[in-house]
Parts: sequence; structure tokens; C-alpha cells
Amino acid sequence: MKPIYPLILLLFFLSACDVQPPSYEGDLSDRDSLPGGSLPLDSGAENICDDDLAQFEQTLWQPVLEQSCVDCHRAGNLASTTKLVFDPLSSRNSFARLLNYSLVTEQAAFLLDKPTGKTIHGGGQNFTDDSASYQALVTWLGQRDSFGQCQGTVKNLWQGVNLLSSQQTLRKAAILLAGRLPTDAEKTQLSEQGDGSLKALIRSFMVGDNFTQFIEEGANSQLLTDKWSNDRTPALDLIYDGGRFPYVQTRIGPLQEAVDNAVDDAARLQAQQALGVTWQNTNFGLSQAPLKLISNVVNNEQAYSQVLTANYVMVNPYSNDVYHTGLSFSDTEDKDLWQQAQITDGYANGDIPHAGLLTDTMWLARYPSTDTNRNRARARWAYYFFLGVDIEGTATRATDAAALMDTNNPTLNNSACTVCHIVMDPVAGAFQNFGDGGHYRDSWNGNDSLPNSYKETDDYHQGDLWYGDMLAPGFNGTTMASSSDEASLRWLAYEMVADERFATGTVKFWWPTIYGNELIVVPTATEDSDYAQKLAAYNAQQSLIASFADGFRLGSAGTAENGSLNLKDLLVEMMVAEPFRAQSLAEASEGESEAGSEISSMGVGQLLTPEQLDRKLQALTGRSWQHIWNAENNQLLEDYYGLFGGIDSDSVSERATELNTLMSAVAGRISQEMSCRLVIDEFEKPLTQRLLFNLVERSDTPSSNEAAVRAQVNQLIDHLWGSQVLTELAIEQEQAYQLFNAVWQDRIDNAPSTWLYHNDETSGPNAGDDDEFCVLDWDNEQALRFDEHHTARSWMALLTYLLSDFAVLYE
Amino acid sequence: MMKRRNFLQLMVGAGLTTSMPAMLNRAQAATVEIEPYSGDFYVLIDAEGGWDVTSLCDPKQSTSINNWALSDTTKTITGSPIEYAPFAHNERFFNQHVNDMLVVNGIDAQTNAHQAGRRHNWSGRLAEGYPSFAALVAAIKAPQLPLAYISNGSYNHTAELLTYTLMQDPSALNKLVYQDRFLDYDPETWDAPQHYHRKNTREIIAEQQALRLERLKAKQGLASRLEKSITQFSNAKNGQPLLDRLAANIPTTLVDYFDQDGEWNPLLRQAQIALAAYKSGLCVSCDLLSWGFDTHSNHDTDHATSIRRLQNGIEFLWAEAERQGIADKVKVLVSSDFGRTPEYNDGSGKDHWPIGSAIFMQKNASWGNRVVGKTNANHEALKINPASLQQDDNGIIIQPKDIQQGMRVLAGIDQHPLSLQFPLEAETIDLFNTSISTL
Repeated sequence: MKPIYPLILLLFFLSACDVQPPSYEGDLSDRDSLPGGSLPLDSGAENICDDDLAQFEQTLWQPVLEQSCVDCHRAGNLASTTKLVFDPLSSRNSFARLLNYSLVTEQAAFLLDKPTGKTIHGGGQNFTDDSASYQALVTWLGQRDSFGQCQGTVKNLWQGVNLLSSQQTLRKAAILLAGRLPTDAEKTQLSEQGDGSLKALIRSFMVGDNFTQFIEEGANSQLLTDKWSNDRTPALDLIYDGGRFPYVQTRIGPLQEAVDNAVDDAARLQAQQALGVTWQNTNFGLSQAPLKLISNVVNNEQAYSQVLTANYVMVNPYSNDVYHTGLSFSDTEDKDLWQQAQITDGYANGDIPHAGLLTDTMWLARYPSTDTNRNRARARWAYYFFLGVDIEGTATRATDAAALMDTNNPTLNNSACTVCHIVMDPVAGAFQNFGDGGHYRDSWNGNDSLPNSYKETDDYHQGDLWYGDMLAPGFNGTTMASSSDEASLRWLAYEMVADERFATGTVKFWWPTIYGNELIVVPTATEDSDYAQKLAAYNAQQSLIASFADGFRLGSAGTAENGSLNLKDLLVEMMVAEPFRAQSLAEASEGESEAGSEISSMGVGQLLTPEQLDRKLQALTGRSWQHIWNAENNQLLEDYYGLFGGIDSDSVSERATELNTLMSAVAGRISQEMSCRLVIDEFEKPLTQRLLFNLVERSDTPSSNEAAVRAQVNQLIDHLWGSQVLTELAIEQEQAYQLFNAVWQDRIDNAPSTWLYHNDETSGPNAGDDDEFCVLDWDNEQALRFDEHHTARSWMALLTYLLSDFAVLYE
Repeated sequence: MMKRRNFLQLMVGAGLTTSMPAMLNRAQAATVEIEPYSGDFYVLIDAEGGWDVTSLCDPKQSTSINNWALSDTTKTITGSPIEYAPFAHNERFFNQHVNDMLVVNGIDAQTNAHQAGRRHNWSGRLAEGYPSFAALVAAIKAPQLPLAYISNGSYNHTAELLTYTLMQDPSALNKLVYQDRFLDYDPETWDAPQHYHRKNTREIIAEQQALRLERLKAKQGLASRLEKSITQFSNAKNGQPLLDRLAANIPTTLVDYFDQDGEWNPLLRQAQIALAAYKSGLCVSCDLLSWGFDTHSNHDTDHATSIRRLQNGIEFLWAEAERQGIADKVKVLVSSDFGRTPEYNDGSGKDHWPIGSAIFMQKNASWGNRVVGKTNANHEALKINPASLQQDDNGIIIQPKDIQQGMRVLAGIDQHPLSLQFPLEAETIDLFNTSISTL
């Protein structure tokens, strides 16, 4: 018999204890006065010494209590009415609560007897008395007399860390959120009104197409529903499947007929093009619905809970026709117009009871089910995306052969399995109305979504919606009433958004988008030499998440003027916080502590995604990296998208967050190709209309007007590098000027001509050394083609240098 | 508390850097010229989702386990202990490569969770934090190479030893290899200027870029994340000069995405690109990914397709390696998250089962044509004696750490300080004893 590994026991029934829950003095109202990254503390918890806390975290909290106890013994969960209720987000509070609980002799005994099954315990037997977990408890209880009393100092994680200034933060936020730089007026407002206006200014960036793209990219990086936006796995295939959407051919059908009936090649080509465009726009409308739902909620400042409770699906004119919603669009050919709609007679098996993402076909199909999976995968992902709970990551799945071969409904009856299934299966049941492919009541008669393989068993009864051999639909210990059967996911949605974990789940969902890296995984290998550091970093991040979640939930985040669950305010709060702004370490002085490993994954230095870099390039230069012969071809988002770390939401589902050589080469290519036309286009405009070169004319040289050249160089550094200069600004300015000057002087001495384009036709060992390619407008006599002062080419060189720098690729 | 950078400087001064993470060593070695790599090429092929080895290399001729047993029998190869199921392209695959492979059966993944299984299988440890073997061997052998580790999406945690590269479409590579050249023209019809800047200008730019990079690297007191990002930026730039070797080896014609069975099979192109990178001297290891093994329903049809896809991909890898003249350098490990249940579920599928197998491959390996490890008729792992490799109730159950240890031994890195920073605590199993198989 293989050993059964320690499991989390989350049993359905409560202990027989008939007690009032203890009152804990966690006051959320003064959170702003607490050191950054810290949480409201129970009375007395601040006196716990750091050493005792660290030992508690390493030996008991993380390896035992978090793994085996906290999920029940926490507010709102199965053991919330007992006398031992942990604070899952604060090891310090939990230390205090455990200590207080253990001061009663009988309760101290319970700590050992209940989890080992020696006395009645609602959670059953968690571990044996010869286990490491038991020993850890014994050891900790034996050390209680040695715990010190330290004077109320809670470590400030960020002490000794220099942050980006408000202006620098404003710039970073503007680039990420709005794809532009702050205007002079915005910078002035910040200067005049002080840091108090920073949040409002950041919030003001959260409008427009660039912000919508930022939101939708971030959401898709998690949900991966863009899998359906390509030709290989199109969303239309999901809709065609089963023939349940009778109007899917509304637009496509006639166009296909036109192709089939075309009288000649020209007509056929035209018909095929029309069909192709319609097909693409229809597929776009279908596949983008989940992301459009999210951006609609965010842009319209609705409570973020609407992403689950929304009673609609988003449609564009094309998907509107597929779903036959009855809505009208001002422009039926504009794929970028979106409205909220309900699917009623557009679906053969009845009105779809919408519940935001939970009922979205694209999301359901991205996380499909099978006859035997029975929506458990969807339950798992619903917990993960919306409550921040990783069911698969919290328990070791049974590998005991006997358990695995148990045929007596093990997910209901075998404790090796129920540990997770008791949490997962009721939520799976809430998905009862949706079949494997994401269609509502997709069985042949449209009455349910149960597979025939189940209907052939004795467990099935006519009229059933859910499996009789599984836990009833429900959530977190609450069974769903049968009156909610028709719209079970709507019921689930409201339950989930009311759960306190919805706020933390939202923070976790958006963390990678704001900070550019994944959340730290809870360390479990206690034997690792760096386990303590890893645990500290994990706990620090969890504290921050909890802090953000509190504000989000209470409506005190951001500008605190827009109510609870406002995502814009949450994102504002995250962007003014240290993880967004930490840049350098202050010089250590006696008595001060330096920032430690807790914050090692947070702060400035996130690699931009290809989409973000593209928007930044547009902000900095006024254009994307276009192909030199085809301005419609955005090379960074097309030819080099995958190479620069982009995803296809299917085979490549993780964004690259670390620069590799090929990505670096992309950056180098950008700087080479863009510089030529950037300079020419700039100098073809009047000085007052230029974005980059508004301090010099081409006639200003290091000889004739060094001051102007230097000023221009300095401005370019400020414009293109912003807060990422990182080294001594004066040195960078001088070195950049020296580059310009060296190139210019060399050209004065050695340039083969004053043309901006030169094809070196010399022979010999130096053949080609004077090649200089640039796309010139040869048909326009007014176009800039000469560089008589040799300054244009010098500015091109400087731009190549500046655009390829670390400062452009990172924020 | 000593500042981190001061601490590093002291370590350098004391000559105590050999045991430090390779990432830091790369930063130190930035000024050293990078030599192309000519050692062995390590290919880790991930049959993602949990493969059914009872229909592959650990056949179970039981009608309750496999439908193919209703009409067919387990197959053998004359003069070989390797057996295979009459399924997919097994006959062709195993007969063709019998002398190149060591099959290891009865591996206990100790999990049924995909994420944990992949991590355990490819790093040797169930808990988080260990690098994949591909990352480890690349970090040891040649971390400075620009494409030292190519990942196609398998378990690719690097433990910050180096950065991996994803290179799925090399069609745009030429313009990255020659960043400063104008290439968007037809040389047959136009003798165009070849560079955006003239040579002297390019040299001035390059000099200033190098100086700027040195200033960034020398900057004291940056927060940890920023410091790491600068190191990655520096290392990424250092590898660029070698990219021209890649240009010479990137195939002008990429293999079709559809394989000989008409299945969309990205494994082919993954293998082609990885081999080209290795041939260029720029790559030490890669992970290749083959999907579709998580067959909880319609198992027989779907799993057969997935195994055929995998086999077509592996065979293409070897054929391409032969064509490139590098087959004798390639070392392959094929494995999966775990196995599949020795029975069908109600949906004609098979669910997760912790017991699986692995296949080591090397051309004409002296240790080839062998089987180690065993399962019983119910596909439960049996204990074996680690020395004699025979079934032994007092022996051990093979685990992924033993397979990973085997790869480390094969690569000659098992005693390297970096490997020892990630100890596997594996059993000493005589995996590569050329004369013994588990009977």
C-alpha cells in the first residue's frame, strides 16, 4: 500500500462545537496609516518578535497550518464558528490567534488531538502523531514560554527603498495605460498640486482605445480565449458545432453562395474577398466577446463583479447576426462597434441565462469538459481565475493505487479524493446546464447537458440536470436551491462575487498585467537552503495582495470616489504602490534596515510586451515599427511578435518576461530601421510641429550651435529614456553628445557624399563601407534627400543608439 | 547587512564564484569571447498530458486495460527485451530504433496533477524551484550562448540560471542576425546599399552602446529586480555576435506543419529549428512539445493519433539529424507528466495514473536495446534492485528523480557544482549497464 500523502481535509459537515466566533480587532479603516505592505493587526500581534514569527512561518504556518487547517479555519468557511479562526493573509495575526487559543489547557490539547483524529474533529484526521506536522505542532507548543515580547515594530518592507518620483510614476503609468507620454499640462498639475493628484492623474489615463487594449491584453494573458481568434481553431467552428445556432449563416451563407455561383474568375475573386472579410469579422466578434465583456465593465466603471454577474454577452454587428439578438447597429459593417445583448431565439435550445464569463461560449470551450470530467476542470479554473484559489496546487492528488482503483464512487466516498472534490464538485454542478463544448443544454432534446453514457445508467432519472452520484450544485458549503436550476451559473456568480476571495482573486488576476511578472508560487520545499527567503518573499507579496484587496472591496482604493469593486481604482492603487515604483536602495545607515529578499521580484524593471512596446514606440516617435515598404505591416505585432515574446493563446500561452538574445536583436533591428525615416519626416516639418527635433534645425552643428545641439540631445534622452537613465544623467548626456559629435565630425571628414542615400560602388577590401540605405522620396522635389550639414545622418545615429537601449525596452 | 553587490565583489575577490549561479557567472564573463558549442545536443521531448504507456512501451495485453487486446497481442523484437503494443506506429518506431533506446518502465510520478507531474518529470523534484534538465545542462555547458536553451513550452523553469528562447518561426531570423543591414530587396534585381549606417558610424554607435552597457552594469544600489533585468539585457546583447552562425544554418525551406499522416504536427518544425540552432553551435539543449495525450474521453482514437504524431516527430528528428550529420551528437529523453489508468472510464477515456515510462535515445547507444523497470499486470510499479535491475521486493520504485539523475550522468554533469546545488537524492540505479535488463 502506497503511503497516502498529507491532504487538506475540507469536509462538508461542521464540527459539533456550539460556540460564538471570537471577536478579532482587525480594523480596516486605518490601513492607510500602516507601513507599506502591512495589514491591520490583531491587538497584541504587533508585539510578536520577528524571530519567533519567522520560525513560526517556516516550521508551522506554511508547512502545516496553511496546508491542513486554514482553508476551514478562516472567516466565512467551514470552521468559522469555532474558537480557532486564522487570518489566512497574516501569519502574524494567526500566530497571535493560535497562541491565544492554546492558552486554555483543554484547547491546547485539542490542537494535537483533533487533527490526529483522537477526538471529534469536523476536519477528520489531517495527519498522524508520528508525522512531521504533528511534531512541528508539539515543538511550537513547547516553545510558548520562550516567545519574547517585542515592542510593536512591524517591519516596513520598503524601508530603505527609493521609489520612482511622482513624475516618473506618472510617465510609466501613462505609457502602460494610455500608450502616450504625460502632457505638459498633466506634468504641471502634478508639480503644482503635489503627490495628492497623482492618483487622479493616473486614473485619467484609463480611457480610450489604448487603455482598452491594455485591459483586454491583460485579461487574455490569463484567460487565453484568443485561441479562438485564429484560422486554425476559429470561434465559428464552436458555433457551427451541433447546429444549435440557427442564424450562424445569416451573413456568411449568401456570401458563400455568391462564391459558388460566380460566373467568372473575377466575380469569384470578389465574392471570395467579401466572404473572407465577413468571416474574419464574424469570428472576431465571437472570439472577442469575453475580453469585450471585461473591458466594457471596466470602461463603464461598473462593479467588477459584473464580469461574472453580467446578464449579457458582448456582440459586434457580425456576431449580433449570428446570435440574432434583435439589436440594431449604426454601422453594420464596423466590426469594432460593440453592444450588450442577450441570446434568446438565436439559440435553438432556449434563452441562454447569461452570467458573464461563466456562460461565455468562448471561455467554456477554452476550458472544456468531458463525460467523466463533469465540469470539474471548469470549477477548477473558476476558482483560479476569479477567487485566486488553485485547487490543484493546494493538495497532493491521491496516487494510492487502491484509492485510484476504487470504484465505489471515490470522489464522493473516498477521503483521498473528497479532500478536493468536496470543494470542486458542487461548483462543477453549477455548470450543469452547459455541455462539453460550452453550449447550453446541448443534449439532443435540449433538456439538459448530461451525456448519453450517464443516461444509460441507473443513476439517471428523467428530468435530471446533474449527476445523481455527485454532490449537488453549490458553493462553499451552500447547496444551491432547485429554483436556481435553470440559471445555476447566475446563482454561482452571485455567490462567488460575494465571497471575500473575489477581491483577492481579482488582485491576483491583474497582478501580472500591472507588474509584468507572475505571482510567487508558495514554497513547499522546507529543506531548501533559501526556503526562508522564498517564504518571506511569498508572504510579503501575499500581504500586499491582501492590502490591495481590502481597498478594492471597501472602495477605498485609488481615488476612493467610485465605490466598491471598481477596477480602475484598484489598478491606480497598484500603480502608486511600491511594487510599481521601487527602483533603488538607499545607502544603509546604522539602525536602518535594508530591503531584503522579500521584495526581490517587485519594482521597476519589467520587460514590455510586444504590444506595450509598440504603443510606447508610438508614444515616443509617433509611429510603430512599420515595414519600410508597407506601412500597414506592423512588424513588432506581426513578423516579430512571437520572437519578442508574444503569445498565441494556444501553443504559446506564457509571455516571455526575460529578454533573450533574439528579443534583443529585435530591439536592435527596430532602432536601425526606424531612425532614417523618423529623422527625415521630422525635419521635413516646421520646427513647431516636430515631436523629437524641436530645438534644432539641420544647420545647427556642433561647430555652429553646440548649445542647441546639446540641448536637443538632452531632450531626446529625457523624452526617450525617461526614468530609466539609471546612471548619472550628466554622463549620459555627455556621452550621447560625443556620439553625435563623433559621427558628425567623421562625416565632415569622410562622408562620400551629402546625399542621405549612398550606394558604395567602390571595390577592394573596403567595398561597401560607405553604404547608407534610407528610403527617400525620389518623386518629390521638396522631399529631404540631402544632408549638406551632415547633421541628419548624425541624428539618425543618435536615434539608433537611444532606441536600442534598456531604457526603451523596460519600464 | 552587507549590500549584495559588495558581497559579490568579495566573493569574486576570493575566487569563490565557481559555485555561484551561472547567471552571475555570465555577467562576470561578459567580456570573454564566446565560443560556439560542439558538445552533445540534449533534446527533451514532452508528451504533454500523460501518455498511455500500456499502449506503447509497457504493453498490457488485458482487455480491461486495452481494447487492442481483444484482437491482438503484445509484440516483441527478436533479440530484444523491448516489447510494444500493437498500436499507432509502434511497430515501425520500435523496430527502427530498438538499438538506440533504453526503455524505463514503472516510474512513479507520485502525482496525478499535470503541473506537478511535468515539474517532477522534467526537473526531478515534485516541489517547485528546480530547473528543468534542459536549463541545467545549458547553464553548465554553455550559458553564454545566445540560444543555449530553446524551449517550446514544456516545463522550462530556469531557476534564473539562464534565459530560454522560444523560436517557433525562424522566417524572420535573417533580419535579426544582420540587424544593421538593409535586406528587404531582391539582390537579383537591385544592387542596394547593404547597411543603414556607414561603417564608421556603426562602429561609433557600437562603442557607445558598449560603454553605456558597462555604466548600467556598474551602477550600484539598484533594486534587485532592476539589477536582474540589466543582467539579462547585458547577456542578451553579448550573444548577438554569434547569431550570424545561425543564419548559415537556418533551413531555407521549413518542414510542413502536416506530417505524413496528414496531422497538424508542430513537433516537426520544432525539431528542425532546434537542430539548426545546434548545428550553428549556439544551442545546448531544447525541449520539444507534443500535445494531445490527456485523453479522458475517446481514448483509443485520440491517443493513437497523439502517439503517431509523437513518433512521426521523433523519427523526423533523427532523420533530420542524420541529414545534418549530427545524429551522433544527439541525446534524447522522451517522457510525460505521468501515465493513464489501466482501465477505461465511462466515456471510453482513460484518466490519470501516476505510473509511467521514459525512453532514453541515442544513436547506436551502447546501453541501447534494453529495458529497466517493471510493472505488474495491473500496471502498478514493481520494486527493482538498483544494482541488478531485477525485481526485488526489497528494492526501490523508480521515480522521476532517477531518470533525471540518469540524464545528468549521461551528460556528465552529475557532479558539477551547479547540479549539486539542486540535489536529487536519487537512487544509484545502474541504468546504463550495457549488459543488464529487467527481466
